[in-house]
Amino acid sequence: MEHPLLFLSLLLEALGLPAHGGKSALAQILAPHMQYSYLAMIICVILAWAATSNMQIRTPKGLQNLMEIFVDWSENFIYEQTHDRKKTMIIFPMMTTFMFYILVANYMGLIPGFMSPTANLNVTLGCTAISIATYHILGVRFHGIKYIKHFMGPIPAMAPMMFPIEVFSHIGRILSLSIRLFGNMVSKEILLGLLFMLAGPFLAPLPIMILGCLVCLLQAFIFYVLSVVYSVEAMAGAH
Amino acid sequence: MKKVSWITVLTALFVLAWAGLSFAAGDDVAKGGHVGFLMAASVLAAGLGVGIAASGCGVGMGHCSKGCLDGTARNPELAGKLTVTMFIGLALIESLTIYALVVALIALYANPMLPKLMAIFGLGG
Amino acid sequence: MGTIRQELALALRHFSNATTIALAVVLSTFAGVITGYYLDIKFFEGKTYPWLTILFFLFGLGGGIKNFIILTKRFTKEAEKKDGERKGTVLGTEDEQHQGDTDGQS
Repeated sequence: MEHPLLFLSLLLEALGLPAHGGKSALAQILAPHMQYSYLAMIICVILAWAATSNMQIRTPKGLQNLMEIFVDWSENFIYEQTHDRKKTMIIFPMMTTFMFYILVANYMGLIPGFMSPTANLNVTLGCTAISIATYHILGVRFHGIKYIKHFMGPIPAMAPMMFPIEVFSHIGRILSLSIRLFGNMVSKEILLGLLFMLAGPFLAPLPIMILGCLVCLLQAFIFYVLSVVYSVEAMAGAH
Repeated sequence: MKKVSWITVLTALFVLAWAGLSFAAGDDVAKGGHVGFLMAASVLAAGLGVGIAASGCGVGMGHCSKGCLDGTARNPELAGKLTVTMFIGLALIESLTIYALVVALIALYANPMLPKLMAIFGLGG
Repeated sequence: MGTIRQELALALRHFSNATTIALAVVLSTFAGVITGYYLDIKFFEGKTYPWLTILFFLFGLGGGIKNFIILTKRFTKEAEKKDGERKGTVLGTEDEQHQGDTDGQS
């Protein structure tokens, strides 16, 4: 299969490292989606550092202003779901970081020569695994051992039958969370590639690019909302 | 309407006859022919299956939105509830297309019949 | 009637909920089927071939129905809450209602 043109991979290849994937451990650490996910992390850290390095309390300007809007919106959004300041502060940092990382990662795919790390199933499954583990841990922390009753259904006699059903419903939700993000991103990339090859590189991919801008924001938002809602449900009272 | 359905039937017959021809041609190459036929049939089934499922679900979604719009035009106060019900109905209809899509993807990328057929003809697997 | 930004956010929430329902129902069914198939073929090496697949298909189907019930309940609850908030702001006074109507038409 022909490799797309990726700047970071070419750079690493010029340095003599296995940059296009392979079997060895180093090649898997340096696979293209891993490179670009490192790049997204570095961009996130640099943006956060630049926004907080020169803080002014009276008149926030520029990047600090933008980040304050984002963080404030996120905190208000989570507070609307939990109605509890302590619970909000437990999940707020992680969820906002998720949203920021996925947003940066999604929008990176629109630049030529870069790819979205979220267009690979492993990255989205990793994000989902972190989110799912978090909400189960929160559930156990807030309910103790009684949390397992959520898996047993209403009638104790039917518990052996209800347990696999609950497990598969959870697996279905995990898969839907990761596969939606992955599917939207990869379909955008495949469509862009097809239009580049079939209809010429100049004006034909433009509508898909505009649609891609919308889809990137929408998918990051959906991932964030669903992670928040699952965590809040796990923390809420017994039902 | 009648003309369209006749065209559909004729196209389907043509496609099936073509598939049969490729099967007959594959008979000459005794070993590889059946595997190639299975691959061609998988691609054909994936495309046709998703197409038919999407056409049926499109009709259903059209009916669903039409009902919601009619109800909202008649009684605008109910718009919120009707929209929610419409979205749930649309989700159920859309799930049928996703069933067809997942079956098509399995047939294309993880066909469970292919290793068995390859084992029958001794082509590894 | 809220501002256009609130309306857009509400539409996005509805969209995300609807796609979640559609995907979760289908994917839990297929997770069940694939688990059963692999148990049959790889773990028991084809001795119990159709039965575990069928059993786990039924489990997956039950999980899908459970998902549908949970997500539908959450969706309607959320939408009713939003609808109540919206009506509370719109039906304040006659004047405000008129204002909301013109806002909605523009």
